[in-house]
Amino acid sequence: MGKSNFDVLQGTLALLVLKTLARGPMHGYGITLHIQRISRDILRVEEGSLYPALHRMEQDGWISAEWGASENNRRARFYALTAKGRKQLAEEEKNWERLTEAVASVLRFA
Amino acid sequence: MAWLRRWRNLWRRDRLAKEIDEELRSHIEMRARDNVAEGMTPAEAHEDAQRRFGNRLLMKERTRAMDLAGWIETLGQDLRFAARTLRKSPGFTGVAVLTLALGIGANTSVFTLIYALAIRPLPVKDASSLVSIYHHFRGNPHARGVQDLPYYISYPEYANYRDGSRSFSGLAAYAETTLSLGGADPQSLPGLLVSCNYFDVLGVHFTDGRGFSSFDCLASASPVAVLSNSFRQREFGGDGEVIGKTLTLDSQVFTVIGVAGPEFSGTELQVPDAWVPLAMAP
Repeated sequence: MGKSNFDVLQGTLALLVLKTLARGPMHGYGITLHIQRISRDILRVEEGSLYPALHRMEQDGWISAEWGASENNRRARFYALTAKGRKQLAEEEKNWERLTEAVASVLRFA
Repeated sequence: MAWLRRWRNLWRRDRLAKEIDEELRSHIEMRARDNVAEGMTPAEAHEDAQRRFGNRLLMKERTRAMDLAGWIETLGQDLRFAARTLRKSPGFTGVAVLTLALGIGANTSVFTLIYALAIRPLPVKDASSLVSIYHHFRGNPHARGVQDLPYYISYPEYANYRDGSRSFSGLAAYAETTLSLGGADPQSLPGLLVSCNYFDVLGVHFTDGRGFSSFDCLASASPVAVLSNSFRQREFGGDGEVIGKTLTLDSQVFTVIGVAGPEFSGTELQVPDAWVPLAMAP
């Protein structure tokens, strides 16, 4: 890990987790690895905020959790996207695009 | 059902905490294994995996708070849903509410009565050392004939117990009665006929005047009465002197000599408006 990576911004963690889970159920460690790998090590999920966020989303009904066996046959809690979570993901993706476009236009203009 | 699971979560906080622990342990072990694969020693690998969590205790606390916060929110939704459902079937709701209301009402009344009869300490100076004495008479109660009740004590019996008792600091007697108040606004009042040591034995506090003395019970004494605080307010208003004023009770003129403190509600369920000496009973 170099010095130029970023902790995932507050508020984008839910979006990234939902998007990650859209590929299929995954445990918490897998989610951190996936986000880090896909962002080519630029984004780093802070472990300390991941689990509160996961449990929050579970309580909100966006994701569901189930104990299962990991790739190496040890017990892990797997999270899966629910129908409500899929809707939430679509909405957050739209919001994110609007936000980045807005920031981009301000940067272009100024 | 989701709400049922959350409900159980609240009662199984320990289990929940253990589950979070296990989830984190599994995360740390997977990270440590990957660290070893990348060339760290097992000790380094484990330390690194743990360090990434920062303050683990705080983090676990926050995770658990999320589980409970969700539960509380859902509880609100469940309550709203229950309210909507109840509104939709007013007949059922009415019967349910009525059943509950009657049940609670009946229980409250019974408790109030039992509390007043058996639990509530009398509003006197030393309620814990106060005892009540009554007769138990086997046989035909009418044969005894003290107000037709077997547990009533006659005045001579009372005087005998009072003078012969060595276990008590004092023995007072009273009987419930109804007094008819004459004058501009005739009405009947709940009253207590009491022995002249009644207020001294109980240690009652007076807002005005005094209680009865032994002179008030002499046959030659002029009739005197003690008023309850609420009757004094009703009859004479809050302030102004009442000591020395007169009242016509049962066609006799009584002079007011005292007003009992507002906390003193007599020695029976019925709160008396006035106390008069037993010797003056018609």
